[in-house]
Amino acid sequence: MDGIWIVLLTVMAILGAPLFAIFGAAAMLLFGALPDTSITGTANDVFSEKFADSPLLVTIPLFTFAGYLMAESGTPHRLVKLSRAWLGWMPGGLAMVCLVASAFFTTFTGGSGITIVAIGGLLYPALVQDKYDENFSLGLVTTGGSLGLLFPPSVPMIIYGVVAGIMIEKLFLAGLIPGIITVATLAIYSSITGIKHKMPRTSFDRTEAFRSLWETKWEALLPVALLGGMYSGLLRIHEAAAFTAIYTLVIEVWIYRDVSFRRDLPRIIRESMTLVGAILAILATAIGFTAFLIQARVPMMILDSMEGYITSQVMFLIALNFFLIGVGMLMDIFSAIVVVVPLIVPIALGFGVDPYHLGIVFLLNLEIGYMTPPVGLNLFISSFRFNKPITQLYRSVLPFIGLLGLALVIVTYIPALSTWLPNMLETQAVNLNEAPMEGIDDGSPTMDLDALEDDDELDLDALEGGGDEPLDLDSLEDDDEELDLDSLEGDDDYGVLDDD
Amino acid sequence: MKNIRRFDRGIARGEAFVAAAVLLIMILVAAAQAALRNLTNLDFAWANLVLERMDWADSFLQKGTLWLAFFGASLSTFDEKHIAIDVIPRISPPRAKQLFRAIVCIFSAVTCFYLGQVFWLSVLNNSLEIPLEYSVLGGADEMIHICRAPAALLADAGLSRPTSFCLLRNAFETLGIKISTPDVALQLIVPAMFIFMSVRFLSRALAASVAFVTKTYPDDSEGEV
Repeated sequence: MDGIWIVLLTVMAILGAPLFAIFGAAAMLLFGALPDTSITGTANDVFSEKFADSPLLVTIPLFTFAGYLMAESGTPHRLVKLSRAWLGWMPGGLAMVCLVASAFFTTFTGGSGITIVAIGGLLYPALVQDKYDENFSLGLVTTGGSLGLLFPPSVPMIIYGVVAGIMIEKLFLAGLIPGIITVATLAIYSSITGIKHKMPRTSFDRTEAFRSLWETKWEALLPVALLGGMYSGLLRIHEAAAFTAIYTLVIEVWIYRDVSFRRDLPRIIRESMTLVGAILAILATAIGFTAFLIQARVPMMILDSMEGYITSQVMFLIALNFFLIGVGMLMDIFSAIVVVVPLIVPIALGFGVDPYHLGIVFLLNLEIGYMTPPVGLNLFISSFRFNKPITQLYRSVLPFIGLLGLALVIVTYIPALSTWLPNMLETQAVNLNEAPMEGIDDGSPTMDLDALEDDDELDLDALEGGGDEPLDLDSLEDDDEELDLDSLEGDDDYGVLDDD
Repeated sequence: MKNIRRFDRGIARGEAFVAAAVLLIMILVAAAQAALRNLTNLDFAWANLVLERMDWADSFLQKGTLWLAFFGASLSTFDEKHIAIDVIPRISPPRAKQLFRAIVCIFSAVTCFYLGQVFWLSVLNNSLEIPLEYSVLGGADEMIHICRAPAALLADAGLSRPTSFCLLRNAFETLGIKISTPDVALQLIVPAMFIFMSVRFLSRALAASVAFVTKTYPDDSEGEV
């Protein structure tokens, strides 16, 4: 690609062109410059298990819809009431209410900024009214906007699973302990702030606590039912997403009656699908862009260039953290995942980093990136929602970025925090002699059928030796063993030979 | 300009309706799949029978997601809510904002047009391969598409013609488009929506150019239906 195109695309990106158009244009230009290569073959990947046929992709619209439905209902009010009743008595209680309610809410809304509007919108005035410092309050609600990203079933986690080709159930488990650590770190800070500034506390009222729990029972049951269903094998991942959507629909429309089926639902679906379209358009067009990077062996070139400078896993992880925070500052989480993950994964595997640990480190970095100046998305949402200058937001989030940085250091350099639970699941599966779940990647490397082909089409005649003799299929098989096509193709139902 | 906007708004309503219908059906299908699979595990024979008849469900969910993705992307274009680094436009004065908007929309329109072309070729490419379940061995040892095979040949092979798909295929054929399978027909949504988004970006570019020249700045929320 000529320098002029790079400049043009950069200028367009800075001027606010949709990122899917930037990735699409970059892919077409890059493939156009390659001799004997057509982008049409790569475009086919959009119709393959890399995108449309991925069992994980189905979950994105379903979870996003459920999140939007919750945001439009009385769930934020009930969550705040519940958290306040159970945590309000602690030092910095209201701040902790904000953290816990935001983390729960972001888990289902996927860090799309709705948390800031829904939970932050409710709690920011209450925090200021309770005499919490304005900058502390702003920083807190802005941080809350991405706090639940490490808890299942956050959409960025699912997208990471799709792009990295790893087992999503294990990634969900990998995020639990690091997720708790990030919330706990901020909770301790909130407590210290509460004690230091002698913030008012509410006394613990047992009746009120149980009343609020009873009021929120349907929402509170959701994570339990969802995770229980998934890990007991009752629900496959897309079924779990459908269960979440239908459960949320039933409770919000017919039990709580917060949402009108005729009046509100069409609008909620439209808004949620608009976001889904914006995310998936990037995912679809970035496939071509990343395919080029892989074809041009960019990850291997980066790995080679690192030799001599980075010699150990620890050094690699330090460099990775700095790099990803930089990425988080400049790109939104969805684009960052689709572009950077294919580059990073082969390099990280080269340094022996566990793929699930890498996923959590990656997502935690981007969680921080969401609120990192100058272009962290949450900063703009907060600035808009609370009508505060963006520069004030920059100042207000700094202590929170520092604390999340501390959590990042802990999670990065103690891999067991991310790998212990997934390994337990693996051990359990081995003990029970279970087969991998149908339609879900089992984490094992899949065979690259494209790599089997040269640029030409598969020549069946050549397999037959070019003669007139009929093809002896039996001779292709080892003695009595049956030819196991499934084992050749990973766990796909069938292999599709692309023509690139 | 007003008529274009009104027409576009009507189309966006239609897109939102299709997206809502697809999403709700997807939720029901996936939930039914889960229920039937668990009932089958509990030895309910009827559930297994129904589940076997739902062998289209996984493919439907995957193609449904593809449709949602591109109807959603088109709605994002309508609302101008695509994910973008929009720091510069955000802090720019209104007139410069309209200029940037026009430039960016023209760039996006051109890109979408070419993306539509690339995906169109890709779908045509996919259509060249006729899977075994959609073909019958003809007299001269040639494979004939199931929709084109004579009834006698189908009867000999013990196959039946998928009537509704063949009707759709014939309709496409009159437009010069040969569709080999229902899956390929559903893939057409990708090039179609890219071309449509290209048109939508062009209309936005036109609106922004008019605003820039006449110095009348439309409300940012004009895209909302």
